[in-house]
Amino acid sequence: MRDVLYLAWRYLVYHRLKTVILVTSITLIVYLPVGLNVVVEQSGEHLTARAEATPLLVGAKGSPLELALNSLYFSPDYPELIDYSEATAVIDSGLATAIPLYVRFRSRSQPIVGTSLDYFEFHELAFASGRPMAVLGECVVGAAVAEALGVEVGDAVTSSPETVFDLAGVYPLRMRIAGVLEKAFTPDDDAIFVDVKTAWIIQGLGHGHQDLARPEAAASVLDRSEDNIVANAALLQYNEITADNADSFHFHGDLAGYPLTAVIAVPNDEKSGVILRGRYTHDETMSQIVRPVTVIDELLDTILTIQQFIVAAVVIVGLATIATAALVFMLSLRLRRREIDTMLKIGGSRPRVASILVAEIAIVIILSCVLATLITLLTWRFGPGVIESVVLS
Amino acid sequence: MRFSTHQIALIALLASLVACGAEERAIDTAGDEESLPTVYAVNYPLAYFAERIAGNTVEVVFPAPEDVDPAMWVPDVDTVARFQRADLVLLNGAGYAAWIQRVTLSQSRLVDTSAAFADRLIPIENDATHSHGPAGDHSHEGKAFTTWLDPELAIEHARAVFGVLLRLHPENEGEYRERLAVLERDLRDLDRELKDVSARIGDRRLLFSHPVYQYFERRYSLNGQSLHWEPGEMPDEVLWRELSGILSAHPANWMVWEGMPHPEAVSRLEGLGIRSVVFQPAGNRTESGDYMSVMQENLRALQQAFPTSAR
Amino acid sequence: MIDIQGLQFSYGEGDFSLQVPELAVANGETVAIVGPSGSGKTTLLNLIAGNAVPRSGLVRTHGEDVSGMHDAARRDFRIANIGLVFQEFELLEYLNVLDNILLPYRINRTLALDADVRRRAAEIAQQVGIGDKLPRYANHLSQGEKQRVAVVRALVVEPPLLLADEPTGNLDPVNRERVLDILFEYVENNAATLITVTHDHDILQRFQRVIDFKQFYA
Repeated sequence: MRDVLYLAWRYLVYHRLKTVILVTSITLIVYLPVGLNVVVEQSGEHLTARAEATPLLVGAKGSPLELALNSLYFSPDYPELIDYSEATAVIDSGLATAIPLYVRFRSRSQPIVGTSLDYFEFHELAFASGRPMAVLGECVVGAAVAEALGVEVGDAVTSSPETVFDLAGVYPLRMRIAGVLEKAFTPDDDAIFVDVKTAWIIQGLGHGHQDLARPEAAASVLDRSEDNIVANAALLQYNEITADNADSFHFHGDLAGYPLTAVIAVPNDEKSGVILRGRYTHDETMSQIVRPVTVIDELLDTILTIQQFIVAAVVIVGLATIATAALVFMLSLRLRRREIDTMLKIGGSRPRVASILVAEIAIVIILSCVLATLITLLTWRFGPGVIESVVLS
Repeated sequence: MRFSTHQIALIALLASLVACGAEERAIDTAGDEESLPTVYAVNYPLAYFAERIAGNTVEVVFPAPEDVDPAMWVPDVDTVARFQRADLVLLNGAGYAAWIQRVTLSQSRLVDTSAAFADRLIPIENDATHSHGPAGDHSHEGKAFTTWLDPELAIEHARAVFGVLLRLHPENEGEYRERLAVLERDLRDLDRELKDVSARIGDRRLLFSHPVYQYFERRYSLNGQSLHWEPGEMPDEVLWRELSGILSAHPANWMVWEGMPHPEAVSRLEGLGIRSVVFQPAGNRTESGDYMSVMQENLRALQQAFPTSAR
Repeated sequence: MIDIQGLQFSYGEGDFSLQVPELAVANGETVAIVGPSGSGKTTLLNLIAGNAVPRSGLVRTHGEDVSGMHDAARRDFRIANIGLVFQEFELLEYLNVLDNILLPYRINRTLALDADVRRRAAEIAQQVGIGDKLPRYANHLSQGEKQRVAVVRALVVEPPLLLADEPTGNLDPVNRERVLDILFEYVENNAATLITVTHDHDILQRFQRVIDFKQFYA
């Protein structure tokens, strides 16, 4: 056997280009359906686990998928906005805990998730260092964010403007990092968490500025009457909330009308969940309530269908590849007729000469399978992250 | 020894199961060694009501220092973190403790104890507004917040506190109900006596050192005007001139102080025919006594100041 | 060494047929076979080696009736007892010189490849002047070097019989002599028998006997 393998190996090494092409082709044919299955299954597991962990989502009427993707995976596309009163309504119903979400802004590529303290408890997120945000302007970063930006408790991150040209819109807010989360192996690792009120400040719905009643702010006063002071554009607005200026931060109007992208509703029990869902079935309601696991299941069904088409295509291509490889081998045998005759003429046994040819094929197939296995393992390790970022981008 | 979050959750979950049907998850995420639920309050009256009702079944915490006005107090970050770990946070409502709007607390643990009478809150008039940008005018104040000075509203606060304490310890309903009843009785007794003394005050014109007596005024139909005088400080001439202007339309004979007044201010007021009486708002703890004893002290001060009806 | 009686051979199609009524070659004899192209000289070597089977008659090689053996038995016999040298060298391009020399040991389990064999191969290669070429691929050698590799491959099993079909046909005169020297030295040192098919009449005087194949050609 050793001699058979040796001669087969020498042949393959000498004709390395042909060997590489064959191994690559067969590796791809073996890997594609397997790797695709691994990716789809793992991604499905990740997506489903995340969806199953979130019982209900309240959001504006529209695409449930967009609502789920933005709320669970912090996709850049956010749904129509709802009012904060939707969260209050859930609380007041007594049927569920409400966790507000405002996932609209970003700090470079990382999503800024405006939410409440209940979010950490709900997702059982532990702190590697520091603590939850306590005051406006503080944030908590996921483990991957801390690693990618090289930041820790005490450092700061800054929100990114929504557009370059909207000077009166969202402006950068510098946020101090109060805590860094432990790795959770969920999208929470890649997010920056702030109080939902801090997110409103990023949007400009709340702000801090000089006290217009004080003499130092005189240059910022446009008009002053007995009971009202109008400021001009020179009014200094703060882009970081510090201990010195925190008291000046305020919100205008009723917070009930302030925007959210979704509300996570955690029903007290199954019955409460059913009753709560029933309240959103009327046509006149402006919002909807979805079960993320249902939405994700539908998404996965679609992905599965696409996967099946791809696998069918791969099988057809695979058969063609195998046929081509067989043709290459048969042509190669014809070309090697003289070499085989020589071995037989000098006394080589027929079985052994045949074994050498079979061993060549076997080595190629085994190498291909080993490579396909290695690539599948890599796919198992890194694939879901790649796929999720593609799906969510 | 610090407990992990999951260990604490397990302990809390088991405790609530033993309590037979508690549906709220009482989880202390910070690893406090105490097994008693913690209830934080933003002012002393709420803390007092919680202590009266719950007794030693919960740990009631009111962390503001004794020498500050809790309405103006802003906790530091460490104290905010302690609020975050509390099982319940009792809010006064009516915009009291504006710092609540600037911190992050778990919404499920916040309790607005004035929600039941939100329609009876007194708006603050003649408050300066400012405007900038397209939103138009807005002011930074809204409602008067010393609601506990009206014993009827204090009872409403106490009932709200009772309701949320039941969430922590539903098995103690009987005991809590009894204590609430005693507290309500005490507050009604106080109310009755304050009504008696306010009848003696009648329509006498009063001055208040600060606009913190709105609910007291309304409850007892008092005729008062508020200043912005600090007890313990001698007002400057601007304030005295302002007082003169007020007296021309509201010739008052009594100044109700929220704390011990400056002796010079007292004597100068007496020179104007205005006598002084101290009525502490009891927003914070005092060196001695409690909310009820302070209110009793206030009552006695009024009884002494107004031994008979007007004319 | 070789005893042929009443040999008749023909291929399946075509008119070619070979008839050898009688032919004997003694042990240690060096024989050259000459004759016109297509007369069956190579076919005779194949029959002696057991690479072909006669329609009738007896072919006894080194005491064994190769014409009566099964295919596998003939191969086992051939690889251990007969060294074959071909005009076109017939080396495997994807093996180096040493692996080409040791090829017989890898393609039939009758022969066992061990350290003694490797040493013998290296020694013979050294003796014939290709000792430093062992790591090279065969197609990187000159014609003369290639034929020397083929000869060493035939000699490494220490066969009692050497069959060479036009071994010098593609060589220049210098290399022709060199290859013949190697073959004849081996025959002399090992009392081996050498049967060579050749068209080259210049080398005939080196052989003890010359057989003109015209006598067998019909």
